[in-house]
Amino acid sequence: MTALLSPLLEQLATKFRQVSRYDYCFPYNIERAILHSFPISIVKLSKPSVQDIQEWLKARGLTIAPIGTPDRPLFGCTVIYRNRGFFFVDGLLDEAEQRFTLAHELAHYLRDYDYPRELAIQKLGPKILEVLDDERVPEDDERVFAILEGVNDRLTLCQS
Amino acid sequence: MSNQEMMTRMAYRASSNPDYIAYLFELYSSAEKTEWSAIARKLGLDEIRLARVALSRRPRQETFDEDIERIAEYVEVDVTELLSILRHAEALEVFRANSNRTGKRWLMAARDKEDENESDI
Repeated sequence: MTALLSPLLEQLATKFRQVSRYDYCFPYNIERAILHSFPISIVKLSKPSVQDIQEWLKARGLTIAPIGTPDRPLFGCTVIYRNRGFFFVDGLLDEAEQRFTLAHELAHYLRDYDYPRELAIQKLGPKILEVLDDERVPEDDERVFAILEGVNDRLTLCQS
Repeated sequence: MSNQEMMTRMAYRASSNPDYIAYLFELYSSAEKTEWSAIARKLGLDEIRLARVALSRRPRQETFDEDIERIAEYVEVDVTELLSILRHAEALEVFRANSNRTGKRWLMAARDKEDENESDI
């Protein structure tokens, strides 16, 4: 039988179940699981677009770099920095669609942010957090080591 | 001064100290343009119990779950509601401290409505 998930996704799904003490009840309260297990706030907006999210952040004094992408309607959006952040979701969607959107955003966080960080710490030690958290640029030996250990693609360690 | 007034005053005073939950309540309340009384309603607490939470030490990252459970037991507050405020305030804190930072360390991604695409934004 062909595997439906890649080994990485299986690994991330397993981690999620462990961390969130997944209990298989249906419908699953993913909102609760995210709040309990990850350093992320869930924000519900009415029919959010790229621009709405930028304005939401700006209204709270949170100026991030211009996103530089066309404005368009979104089901959901993830913004993370220094392992803190927001999952934005269209609060007008029905519950099942909101749940799916949050699962989608959580997958982005786990696959594109949390996993590469964990991998970097595992390969390069906890000091690499200073680089990942934008406190300093990587040292030459860290750049080389990152390339040799194959974490370069995910971490963009060489593009500071 | 009643016990309640004293607790409330202490809680407000602690709101300038990042070691206390009061600091996170104040961050939340100023960003969301809401009063502490609205936080109390969201958490289902009266003023004195809100002050007790506010005067609790902020959960430590390494023992976050344990610390949150302890606070929740101490004041009988719904953990999920409390987490929704604390997670929000912590994200605000980090983003504010790093405004205008650019570069590859941000994760921005979205699920588009048009064409059901997903994208990095």
